[in-house]
Amino acid sequence: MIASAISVVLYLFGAEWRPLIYAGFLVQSGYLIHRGFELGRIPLVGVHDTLNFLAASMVAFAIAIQAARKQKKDFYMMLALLCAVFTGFALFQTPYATPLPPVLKTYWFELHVAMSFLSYALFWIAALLGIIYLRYGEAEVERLQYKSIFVGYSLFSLSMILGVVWAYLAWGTYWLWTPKELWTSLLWLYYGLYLHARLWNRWSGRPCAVLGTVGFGVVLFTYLGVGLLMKSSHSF
Amino acid sequence: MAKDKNNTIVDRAWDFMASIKLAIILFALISLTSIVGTILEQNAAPSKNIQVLGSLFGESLAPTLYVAFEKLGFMDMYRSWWFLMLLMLIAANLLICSLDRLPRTWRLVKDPMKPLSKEHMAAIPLKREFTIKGKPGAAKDAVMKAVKKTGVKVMESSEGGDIQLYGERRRLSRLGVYVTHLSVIVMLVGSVIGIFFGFKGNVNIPEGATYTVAFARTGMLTPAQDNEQNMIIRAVENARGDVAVAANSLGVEEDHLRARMRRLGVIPLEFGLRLDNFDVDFYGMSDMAKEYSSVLTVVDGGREIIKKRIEVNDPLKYKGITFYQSSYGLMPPGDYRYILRATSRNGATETMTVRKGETFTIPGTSVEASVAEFNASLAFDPSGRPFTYAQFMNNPAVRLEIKTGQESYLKWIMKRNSNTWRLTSGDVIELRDVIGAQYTGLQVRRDPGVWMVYLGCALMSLGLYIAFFMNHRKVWVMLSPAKGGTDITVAASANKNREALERKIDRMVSLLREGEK
Repeated sequence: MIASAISVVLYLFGAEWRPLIYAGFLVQSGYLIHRGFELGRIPLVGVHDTLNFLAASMVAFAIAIQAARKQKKDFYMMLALLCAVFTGFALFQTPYATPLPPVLKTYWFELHVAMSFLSYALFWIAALLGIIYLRYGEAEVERLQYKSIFVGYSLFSLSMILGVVWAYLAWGTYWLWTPKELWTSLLWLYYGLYLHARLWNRWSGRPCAVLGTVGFGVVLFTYLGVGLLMKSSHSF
Repeated sequence: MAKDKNNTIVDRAWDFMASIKLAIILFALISLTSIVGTILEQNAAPSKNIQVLGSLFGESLAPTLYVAFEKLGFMDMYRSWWFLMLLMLIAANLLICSLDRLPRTWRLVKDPMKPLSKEHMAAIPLKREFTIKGKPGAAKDAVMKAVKKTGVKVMESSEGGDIQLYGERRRLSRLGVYVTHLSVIVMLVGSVIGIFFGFKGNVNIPEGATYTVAFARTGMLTPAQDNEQNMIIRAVENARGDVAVAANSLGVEEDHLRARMRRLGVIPLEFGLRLDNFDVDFYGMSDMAKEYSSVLTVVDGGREIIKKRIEVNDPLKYKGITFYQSSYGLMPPGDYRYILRATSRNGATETMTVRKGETFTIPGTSVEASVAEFNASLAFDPSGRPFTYAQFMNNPAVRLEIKTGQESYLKWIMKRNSNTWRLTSGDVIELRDVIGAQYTGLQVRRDPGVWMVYLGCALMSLGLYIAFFMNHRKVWVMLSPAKGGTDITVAASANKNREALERKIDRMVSLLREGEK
């Protein structure tokens, strides 16, 4: 709890001074690792865990992107605010501390969720890069956006495949038409469309960057909207 | 794509089916209907969705809207004809756009790379020109070495005094996108095979019982159908799962019997499945299940074939049918057997199985006991009265009547609480298990298409990897004799990640120039 609160403050001030983002990241990662050891499993069950994980993953990917090319201050400002909001929101969610139901006690589950949240983080980073591109129009930034999305898309596909295998082992069916699966496939189609649109002359450039940015909302709805509003195979 | 101008209807329809425009339209349609299908709970009681509609559009409109949405199939959207049609259209879109573009790609992949004419080379955007000393023939080896560094396999051709070195790498990677598209089709075909040739059923087997059928979901059965179902099940059980024998005993054709079974939702397993034991493991002293497992035995042709302990995420498979641990529950009171272990204060121990009322003796003593009462989830209210607190076997306990000489008293023994096992005499009676009190809930599935779905998954991983992380790269280097040396023109192209190729080419050029100094 205290660790999360510290991260929020660090991220908030990180909007002004970048090193504080990294400090927030270190505190948050430390918290997640500590929680993982305490629970003896991957800390990715419930909104509290996943929001923390998402914020930390986004910073981690941002560091990788910074290594590829120096980014504008605006990028870090948005990143810091986003991480602060996520971590802040996580602060008000009760951590899932009860033991896991039997169906979640498998590596398939751990890999499945880890992959999907890493891909969400990449899609969000891509959305931020999209905003930067739309504002400053640097082709290099658009290419980074594309790369983030295609790595994210690969991880997301992998996560779906892991989910398919797991569901088949657990329930004897690899696909259940519940809202979560549906929005997952929509998200997959959406970014599939983005990847195709980019090859299409009429859409490459700005329209495509807009598509990659709007994806933020589709991811957010798939992640939180479906979970909070609807009953699904993903509520345990 | 360059097509004939005289577009027929068929051409136009083909182009539309292959277009990204259709993909976008379908995506939008699926999203919009999905939002409705997500807000309305699928396969729920009508009152629930009327309430949802009421909160969105007002109480007065809700019933009318419900009927309208129901007619349109929104209450069971994923099985509605139009939703399946949208999915099929997406698949058709994918297939046709692949077929539309494949021939062109195939030509690129099939034909070996050719040297370029000077004019063609001039038209390539990524180009570097410079001059080095020495005749083309002499410079060739150094150039060859430098070109190899870009990762391509180098070939050579000469025309007039010019020498051209050229090569390519990962030509086949152009097919990656088709592998990805194909994978989606393969998965869809696999799922359709599963729908048409497989089944989904379930069965609840009490401890100790052998079942030869499972049950598919059907609508409500009439009393007559219910009777017929029971009769068929009995016949199949008596025939130990052999449907032909059962048909014979009922005096009907086997095909007829199978058709009736399908109609009544009875799935023949063609073998017997026995539940030997069912157990729930709890987290510490809580009522939260940590793991639950069934020990199952497959009995086929009168012989025990397999014995396996299955648990959640670890099913049993036999003859193409898979049994998944999915739920459990308590049987109505009946012929339970209690496994008790008695240990006397001088250490003699014995495990025995008893029924209610059967008297047994603690080994090496004269203490006699018998089970007087059973409670599956025993708890005591504040006044000390026992009651059952859950509908599962969360805290099984037996009330023993214990006789020591003249005295006799009643005592509760709980399976999960070792503090209750010790008698006042110092002897210990432990409740090990209760047989026959629980049933296991199994999902029963046959899915002959699943291997295709898995194949599709593998193809998709492969295809995405090739499509995103590999590129087809071509390099041409022209060496032309010039005054005082050789004019070198480097041209290169790649279907993806051109920046990386440009960096490689620049490195190659600087390498050649370095060699000059």
